[in-house]
Amino acid sequence: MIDLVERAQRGDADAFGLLAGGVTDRLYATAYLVLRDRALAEDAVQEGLVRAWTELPRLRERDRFEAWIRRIVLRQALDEARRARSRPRLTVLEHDGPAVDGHHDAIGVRDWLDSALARLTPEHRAVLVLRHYLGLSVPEIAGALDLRLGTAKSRLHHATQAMRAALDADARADARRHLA
Amino acid sequence: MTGNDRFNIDELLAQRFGADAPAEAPSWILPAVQDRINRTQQRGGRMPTIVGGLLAAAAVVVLAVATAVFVPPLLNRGVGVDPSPSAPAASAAPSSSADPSTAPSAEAPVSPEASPSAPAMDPDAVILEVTSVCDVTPPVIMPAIVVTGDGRVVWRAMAEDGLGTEYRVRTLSADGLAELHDRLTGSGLFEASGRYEVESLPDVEPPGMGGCLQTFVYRADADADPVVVESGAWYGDELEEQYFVPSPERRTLNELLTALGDPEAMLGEDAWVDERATFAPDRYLVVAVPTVPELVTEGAPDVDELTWPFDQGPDAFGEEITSGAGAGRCGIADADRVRTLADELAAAGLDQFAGDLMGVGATLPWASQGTALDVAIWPVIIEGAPACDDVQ
Repeated sequence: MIDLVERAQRGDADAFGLLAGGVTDRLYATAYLVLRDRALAEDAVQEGLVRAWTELPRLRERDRFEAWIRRIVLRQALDEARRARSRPRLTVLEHDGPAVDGHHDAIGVRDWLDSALARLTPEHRAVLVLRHYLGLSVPEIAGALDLRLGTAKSRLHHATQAMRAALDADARADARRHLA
Repeated sequence: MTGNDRFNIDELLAQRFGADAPAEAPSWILPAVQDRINRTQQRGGRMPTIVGGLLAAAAVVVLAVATAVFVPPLLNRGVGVDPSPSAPAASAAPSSSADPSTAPSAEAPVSPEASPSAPAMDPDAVILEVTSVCDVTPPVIMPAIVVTGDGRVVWRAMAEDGLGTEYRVRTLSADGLAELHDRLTGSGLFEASGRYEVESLPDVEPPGMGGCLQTFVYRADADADPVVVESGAWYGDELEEQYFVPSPERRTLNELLTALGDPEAMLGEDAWVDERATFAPDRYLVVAVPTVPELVTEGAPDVDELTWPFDQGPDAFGEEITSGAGAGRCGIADADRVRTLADELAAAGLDQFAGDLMGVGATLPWASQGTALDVAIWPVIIEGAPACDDVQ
């Protein structure tokens, strides 16, 4: 791979295409999970890859290509999220909460989780995705999001707390519905 | 019973992300990217476009590179020393002045005679300027904090909405400024210029944390040469122990940088003579660099449709510069004129121009020239910071 990176750094677009082909699916999945919007994720990946191409000659640690390009796409994704956040949203997420009769209804839990995730900020979702989808360590999350280590730890903690709060809120609402 | 009692959130998230993640990217993305990069010039090892430098997280830049491009401009700025007789009269005000504002009390703003530890200093002279940059050096490196001879402190803080940063300004009393001097000199690291680099332990592979360079430029008094102290980031006990050679100096400087990020907490409420305010720049630095049309920001209006903030047009304003993005022009414009341009761009849908103009940019089409124009705007914090000479 390092050879491909070196070729791409010298302007070999085909080499870059091969490199990009090896990581695009993971980048897209990551961007989608952070943004929860396929169109925004597509934009983030496309713009991120083009930007990576223009900046590739400045990559020093060639063996870290994937981590490097992931940072670019994540930054692009969060920029997309900020732009989208400034526009009015019409989507209303409906959910019925989890099943409460003692067994985990798969669809109920899924909707419950999705609803809770939708309430998080993209920045909070990003740390959760990096941690629980990509399995990155906290230092790696810090590197991927340009955060200090302490900030990454703090953000992961707060994201998890926010998730708990959202889930608790859903559980309370669900309990109220069943009591009514 | 709550959801947290019933479910392991970590496990559920891992399962949900795994199930929800698309297995493949849409098939059109790669061909579209390939088509675009075939028509897009690489930066050839130079800085990316102005906009790219602002918006993209990117490659790890070794500390030496960042140092090479950044420190010389700082030193060349002369840190505000102006021995000319045109220096503001306040710096030469007689100590017998009846003006109570010059009295040497804790409530007084700084005057040259207010404290024996503060010899005659140009009020606009920079006592302390701290920058911190990680990975890619942006085209213009903005300070984390600047302290001037009259006790003015301008520092960057998280914006109230949690998105982005803003600059705040407040004025130290003479005692507050003396306390700041004491905190700096008390570290023992500002007696002479120095450089403390991150050094990996042998036979370990550090995680991809990137490189950070913290630069402190400090002058103890008007006669002193500026001391420039550079440091790589301190990555914390755990990482330092595992991957890096521990450095008490880097740790101290990192803690100092963190403390300076909130100077009000660092120096206490009694250290100030006025209330904190959001810093409102009265001038902006504007950089415009022609670039390839393929990089035009979606929805951006044509350059010729906009109200340019200089008397001369985009091809003639200010001065010529050669940045990493190529040859272009740079100038300093009054805030109201820049705001007019920003409002027009925001009205066209470029939301980054709607708020404060903290290093925002876009690539605009420029049909009459058959090209595009990278336009970036930065607030001027103090005279010369930033200046066109600083554009990388």
